[in-house]
Amino acid sequence: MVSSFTLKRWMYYLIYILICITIISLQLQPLKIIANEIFWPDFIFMFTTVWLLRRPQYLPFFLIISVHFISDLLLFKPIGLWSAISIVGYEFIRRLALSQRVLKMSEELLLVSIVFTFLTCTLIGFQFIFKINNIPLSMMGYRIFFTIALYPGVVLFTHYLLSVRWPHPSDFTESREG
Amino acid sequence: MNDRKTTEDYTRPIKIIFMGIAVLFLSSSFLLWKIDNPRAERIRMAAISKIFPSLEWVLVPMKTGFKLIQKIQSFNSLYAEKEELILELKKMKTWQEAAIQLKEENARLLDLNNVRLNPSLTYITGLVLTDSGSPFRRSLLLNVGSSDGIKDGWPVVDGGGLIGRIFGVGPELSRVVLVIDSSSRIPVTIEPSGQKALLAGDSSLFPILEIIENIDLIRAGDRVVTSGDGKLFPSDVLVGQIIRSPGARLRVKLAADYSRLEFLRVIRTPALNSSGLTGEIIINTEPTILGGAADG
Repeated sequence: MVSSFTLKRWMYYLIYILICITIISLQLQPLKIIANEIFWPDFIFMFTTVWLLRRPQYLPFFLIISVHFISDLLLFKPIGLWSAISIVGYEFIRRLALSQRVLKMSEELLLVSIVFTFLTCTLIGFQFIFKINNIPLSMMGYRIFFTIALYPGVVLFTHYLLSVRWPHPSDFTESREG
Repeated sequence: MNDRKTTEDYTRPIKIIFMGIAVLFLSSSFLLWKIDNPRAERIRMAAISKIFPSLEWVLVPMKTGFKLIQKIQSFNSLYAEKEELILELKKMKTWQEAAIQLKEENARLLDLNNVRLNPSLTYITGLVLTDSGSPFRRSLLLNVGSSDGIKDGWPVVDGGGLIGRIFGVGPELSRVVLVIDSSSRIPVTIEPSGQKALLAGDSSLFPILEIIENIDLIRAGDRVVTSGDGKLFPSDVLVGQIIRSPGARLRVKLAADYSRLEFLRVIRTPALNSSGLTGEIIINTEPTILGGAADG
């Protein structure tokens, strides 16, 4: 029982890492289509949030931090800033998820938009304080908009392709074991 | 249940400590990046050069995907190029047409200078004086006349085929009555069947074939040449090809290019000379024709 659970957990780690690497690599690609027209929506945030809400025990915070730190490094962002800010939001979401509530899509979307907007505003505030103006404000607006707009798509993707779904009420006792 | 609660009680502070350490690490790395930016960037580059090669295998499917997209794009551009080439080809075809026409004209001019119809025949080349644009003209004027030795009744050809016959000669000018004139009757032979017939003009561009011995032997597309009967014309001068008109009458599509008559050649016909025949035999209403032709 324990071994199967561990295996499952490592599988989830692996899948999560793979997804994040794919997202980072995609953003590193010299894509002509999107290029500088639209700021990339934060797919890593979306995937992390979807997973955290549904499988909080499969996504330890060290994994989240490592992935975000690497993404900061590779994507030439201020090192550690977004990781430090977003981990607060993730832990808040994790708390909510561990309270065993199944959210409706609208509730989830509202939660995500509030959290992400708050985190982005914090990021903008830090950038303002430390005089880092590498991303214009309008781009940040786009980023928030597209991240929220594409969130349902990520939910559907994880739901149908990765079958990461809301735990069934009967699963709760088992899932709490983490 | 109690066990789990106790483990949770143990792990929670540890988790919080770990989280604190992590956040501290992150903020310190950010501060390092902010304070000593060049060094942090160097560290970043070193980290990237370490991490990136290990990411290459992840990039392989993506790279192939992008290559595929690029290939599709190049395919699209190929398609556009193809369309462009087709357009260009159309343009080129008009040029080809122009070239062919020039070639034909050249051949016609060359032909005018080098007759191979009948060794006994010689010719005099004249320039058409009247307007050569209309296909409905039934007679025209040549700038050669009796001073050049032109006699009444001699056949006139262009590079392609029979045009008509001299009718009325002045000292410097001569009048040509065309094959398509309604008064024109010319004995012809239809090849390859060898049928004899009479080519009768009716003012259209396609004169009618009359008095055919056996119509069944005639196919559309057969060649029509002069027969030389009646010693009016030399034999074997090309007239044209047979076509079937809607009224089931046989007509001839003339080989001569009536839309552009410039240089014509008058065939000196010794037999005609010696026989002393004139156009009056064929055209018995001479003044009317002349008048009509002059009007036309």
